[in-house]
Amino acid sequence: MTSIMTTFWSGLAVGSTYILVALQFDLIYTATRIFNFGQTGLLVISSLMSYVLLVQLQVSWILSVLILTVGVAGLSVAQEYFTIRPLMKHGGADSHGWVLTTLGVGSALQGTALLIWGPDPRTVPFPGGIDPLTILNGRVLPVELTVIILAIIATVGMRLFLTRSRMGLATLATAADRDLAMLRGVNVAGVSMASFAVSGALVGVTTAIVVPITFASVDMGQQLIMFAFSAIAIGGFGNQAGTLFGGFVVGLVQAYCSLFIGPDAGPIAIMIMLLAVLLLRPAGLFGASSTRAI
Amino acid sequence: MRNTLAVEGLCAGYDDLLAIRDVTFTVAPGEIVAIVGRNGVGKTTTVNTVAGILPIVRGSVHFNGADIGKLQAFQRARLGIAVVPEGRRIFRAMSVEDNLLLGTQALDPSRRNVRDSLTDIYRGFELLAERKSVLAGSLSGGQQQLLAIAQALIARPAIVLADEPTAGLSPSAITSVFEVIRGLAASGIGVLIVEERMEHMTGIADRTLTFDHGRIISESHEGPLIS
Amino acid sequence: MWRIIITAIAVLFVAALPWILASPHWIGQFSEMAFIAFLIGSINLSRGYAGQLSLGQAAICAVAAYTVAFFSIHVSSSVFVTMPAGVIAALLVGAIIGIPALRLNSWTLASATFFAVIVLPNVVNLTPAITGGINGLSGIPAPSLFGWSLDQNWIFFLTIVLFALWTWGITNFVHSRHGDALKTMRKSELLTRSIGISNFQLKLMVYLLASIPIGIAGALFIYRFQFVSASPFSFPLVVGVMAGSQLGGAMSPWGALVGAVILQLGPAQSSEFRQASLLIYGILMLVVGLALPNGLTGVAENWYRKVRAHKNVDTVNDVPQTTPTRIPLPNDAAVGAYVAELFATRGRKGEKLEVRGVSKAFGGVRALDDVSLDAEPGRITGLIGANGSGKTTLLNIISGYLIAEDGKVSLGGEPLKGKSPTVLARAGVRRTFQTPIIPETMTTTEAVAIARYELEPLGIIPAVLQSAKFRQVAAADREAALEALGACDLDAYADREASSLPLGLRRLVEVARVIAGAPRIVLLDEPAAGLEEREIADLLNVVRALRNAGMTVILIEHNFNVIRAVADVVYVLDRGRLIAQGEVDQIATDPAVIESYFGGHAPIATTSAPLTGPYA
Repeated sequence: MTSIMTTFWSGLAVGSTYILVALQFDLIYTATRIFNFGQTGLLVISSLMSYVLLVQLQVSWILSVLILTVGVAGLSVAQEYFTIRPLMKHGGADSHGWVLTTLGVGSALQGTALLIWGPDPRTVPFPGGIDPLTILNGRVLPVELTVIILAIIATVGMRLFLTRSRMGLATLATAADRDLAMLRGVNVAGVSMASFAVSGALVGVTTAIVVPITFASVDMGQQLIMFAFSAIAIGGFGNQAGTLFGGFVVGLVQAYCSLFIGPDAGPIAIMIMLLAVLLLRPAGLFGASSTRAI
Repeated sequence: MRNTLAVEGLCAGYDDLLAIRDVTFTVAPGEIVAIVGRNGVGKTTTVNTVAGILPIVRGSVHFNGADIGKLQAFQRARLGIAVVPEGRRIFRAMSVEDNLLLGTQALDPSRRNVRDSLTDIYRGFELLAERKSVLAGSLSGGQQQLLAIAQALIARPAIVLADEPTAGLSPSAITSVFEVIRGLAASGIGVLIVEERMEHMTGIADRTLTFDHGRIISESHEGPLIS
Repeated sequence: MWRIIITAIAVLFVAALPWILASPHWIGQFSEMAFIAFLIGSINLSRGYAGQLSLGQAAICAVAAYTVAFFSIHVSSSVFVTMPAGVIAALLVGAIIGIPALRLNSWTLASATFFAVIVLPNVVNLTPAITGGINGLSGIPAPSLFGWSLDQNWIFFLTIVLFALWTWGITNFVHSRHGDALKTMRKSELLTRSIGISNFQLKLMVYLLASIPIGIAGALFIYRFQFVSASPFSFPLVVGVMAGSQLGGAMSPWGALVGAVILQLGPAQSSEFRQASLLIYGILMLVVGLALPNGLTGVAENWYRKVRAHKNVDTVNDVPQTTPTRIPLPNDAAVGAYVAELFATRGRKGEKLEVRGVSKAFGGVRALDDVSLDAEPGRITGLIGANGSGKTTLLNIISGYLIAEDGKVSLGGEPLKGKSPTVLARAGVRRTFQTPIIPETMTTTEAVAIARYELEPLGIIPAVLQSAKFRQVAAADREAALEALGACDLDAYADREASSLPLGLRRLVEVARVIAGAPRIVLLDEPAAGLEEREIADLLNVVRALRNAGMTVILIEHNFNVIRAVADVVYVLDRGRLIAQGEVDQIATDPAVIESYFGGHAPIATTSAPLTGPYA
């Protein structure tokens, strides 16, 4: 039986993958007030492409990451330009047309992946090797350690970006009051597109590290975004530190439920947690009150 | 004429209904032009159309001789047209300093020395300098209005359009705001100010345009009583 | 009457197709269509009418199906046992997932319900004893009716009949006052609260109602295939149903049918399609989402409206628009007595409002500071002050939208503080808004009658069945609305589309809505703003009538002439403080008021219009 501490590390690692996905959503949501359901498709395409590049074509790791970053960023920008921008002209994020188009993009990309690669999952190796380290009495794989550190760095980076940089300030302003931001010289449409671009780049950059843990398949996108959503909901919308916490909690719950009950128990437990948080503390545990209650 | 805002035959509105018709006026550097009229006569519509938030149905808006009708709102801001919308609108969840920093988005890139601009603004608005890190939402009404104006000014605009800047302010706050406005005109900035009551503009405006039912019905050249 | 008979015959004809056509292939196709149509109908109801996007139909349907399977195997295969079991299961699961998420914005609901679909296979795998695990349950007994086993032809018959009944029931529901309440909520949740309607309850009601067709679809699935597993109820089904909803159009009762038919006849025909279904549905949703936000039925309706509007026909009622002749207004006293009688029959009358020491601050801004005020029944209490003086804040506190930090507010002795706007509205606190909020596609009568929604509640079932109770309440609604319209001299516009009326009339419609709500206090928020002289005269007549009827009226106004014309007592606010109170002439000559409110100029000198004409 795997030890408690080993499960702890794998839980944190899995949680870190959720955090990375959550940050991708967070950026787009902060800039546009849209929850991008199309992210499922981007994750799937990116993960399967990483398989193609790293395993089938044996492209170098650095080059693969580069190609993925630029490629998925481009795909994301295309999504914004063709399927979001036309809608934002009429009523912006308040009308719900974007839920449909983002779902449509997600399905279309997943459907394409299904046709090209079929439903079976693929494994993608991590260049750091497979020999586990021992930390605090638990075994950690190199890729797990990497992804945990990456998640923390990305969260801090996102927070700093939003609060300290010029672009970040413009993004927060766009989210707070779009019209006022426009009057004050912020290129709101540009901010919107940039958020999609950066989010897509984030997907590309992190895929090669995330995929060894989650495997590449058509189905991974859906579960990932639901767990990422749960992480955000538990931690509180608009609060990056909260998302970090939420992601780790979700990962740990997933790992320990798997250990003690079975692989199917994790998702159910997380869903129950999500419903409980929505019912009792809708703004999340550390909510930044950007969710509007009815 | 340099840095003059010229509006000609402007028609605009919401959802197929024209809210303003054939609006024509100019604002030259150093002038204070007032637009007055009851609620709903089209004053804010005019400001929003000049700002670029509402589309122009007919007519034109020229600035510095060039037609800016096709430019988006943020581009007009970067050209030097600053709009201070009604309602003391600022970014409440951000600090005073962050609000001002945000205002530099409209600053001409060639003049974009953010540190200097901040210093200049703090010199002109001591009140805000003392409250740099305060959350904008916790300021009093009058202070918020001053912040809104400062946020527009930090971009060194050539024309300022202020929509009901004195609404809901105490008499002393109103005095401060008008002092700022007079100062702007004195330094060569053209000001268009929207007010509901004609009485408030006596002694401030060089010219007063009265609106009714979407049109300008009269124009008076009173000139400031106190120069 | 004829329409019902013809429709019934058409339905029976379609239901009898298995025997007429004798083509199992086509019967299978139609069954599929009906199944999808039930699911699309569910989305349309919650999305189109309540603005709630639920993506969980697949999961709820699966739970219903498994329940029906379980009951068929272990309890009884009678339709009377299994179908209700399925529907109840759908209602329960719908509630569990929906209630937490409904209170937030609708994409949270979308996400939570989506999660349910993803989690379904996990639940199934964990409970193999009940669900048969990955392999599912097969060999489920066929449904029986009074001990008689139903074959596929009869199951089809049942499907069609149920679908027709569902469509009929929902159409009734949507055309009833519940539909009006939903339109009102979609227009403004603020408005529904101000007439006492709980937005959450309304959304929950629709959401649960929308779970019923899902339960039926789940049962029909079992009847048809006699097999169930988790795999049909997965992401492709979610996307397919969404695409169908989008294609058909969520706003029309026909949308579900249109969407289902097109989906079934189009993409679902080929078997190669199954592989590409995700891709095709995705593209479909994208294209339709961008180009046809209201689907094909939306296009048809838009076109229909344009044609009618072109012919100058009132699009709500297909009645040619003519300018109605004005009915001369009876004198004040008569209208007053009329309104008084109106109130008396509802058992409501004006009550005294007491505000004591109320304070409210926002951040560092002191919006109200120790304000006290009395408003007596049978008097018009004016409230004036410059912009930002706190008048709107005070109004919002009295009507429950804000909570005061200090002080007390009571109506007729009952404390009001801390109660929500919805509760206060039900208790008789009714108000108008600075910009009139009038929902589209409603007649003036309907827009006014909705004020009675909570006053005389009507359940869902009477509305769905159009029972005698429903007709009785609908008639009472109409009668009360017409009376309120009469008091405001709006009779001539009773059947016109309310939102198309000019501003002055829409203001009066809001007042009529307040009257129809049988208030105990009426709060008017700058009702004269933006009105022409003539419209102000009409407004003042109604306000005086309210006073003469013994109602408590609080009038917030910027326009001093209006105050002079009707107010019995005036309170003056300045930067959150009460600086004067008394009769109009007192106020107009009070130096503090002249300084703060009139900017130093006494009002008699600067009044632009004499106190004649509309203000007389």
